[in-house]
Amino acid sequence: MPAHDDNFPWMSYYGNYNFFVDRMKSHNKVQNVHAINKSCYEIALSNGNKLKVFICECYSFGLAEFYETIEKLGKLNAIIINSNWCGYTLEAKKHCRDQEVGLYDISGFMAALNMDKYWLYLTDREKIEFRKR
Amino acid sequence: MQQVKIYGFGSFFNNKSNFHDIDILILHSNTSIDSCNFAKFCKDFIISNIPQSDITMLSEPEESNNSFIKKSRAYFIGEVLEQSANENLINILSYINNY
Repeated sequence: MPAHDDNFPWMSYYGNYNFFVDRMKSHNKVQNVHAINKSCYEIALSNGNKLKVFICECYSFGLAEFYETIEKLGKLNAIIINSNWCGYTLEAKKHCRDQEVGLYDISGFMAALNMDKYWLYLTDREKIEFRKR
Repeated sequence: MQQVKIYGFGSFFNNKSNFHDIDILILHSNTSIDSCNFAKFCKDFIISNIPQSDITMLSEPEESNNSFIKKSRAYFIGEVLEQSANENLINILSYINNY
């Protein structure tokens, strides 16, 4: 199954992010989920923080896509790559971390929300890869 | 001087009769902002002429780490040099349109 077209904002193949919204609503650190538009959400956390989150389906979200996204949407707190067919590069992950922007798949974001510095979250594989560099 | 390589992959290039979109990879030289910006310029140019294109942008180090070309069985279409970008892109559009 391909990632959906519409080169920006790379909307879901199914035209919605209902699964993501449901997962967010089930997280015990999340108080509220507000859709800013079809691809941007404001996630209100129980600690009072509000995160501006962009979700997309992009085959391989790289640095150029990060710059493109920020240029079009402004400052973000997190970027979520939906779908098992899509992913992101380690270079983009590292750059986002340096900018205090989280970059994850949905399960990574779920785990990261348990951390105060959520943008620092790494999967086990990423920890290994980052140690190699 | 910036340069990118353009690759095609996916159903359009493998099975033209049954495609959803036209998958294109723009492979740019490195992770510098100038290199990324040139890739974005090429992406915007292609999309404005082929609206059904679905474009992925990767720097060479990023592609090298995730083997995108190999995994997607992408194949090389052409190169775009900054000094002759419009001419190179028009040639690539022509190649895709006549594919």
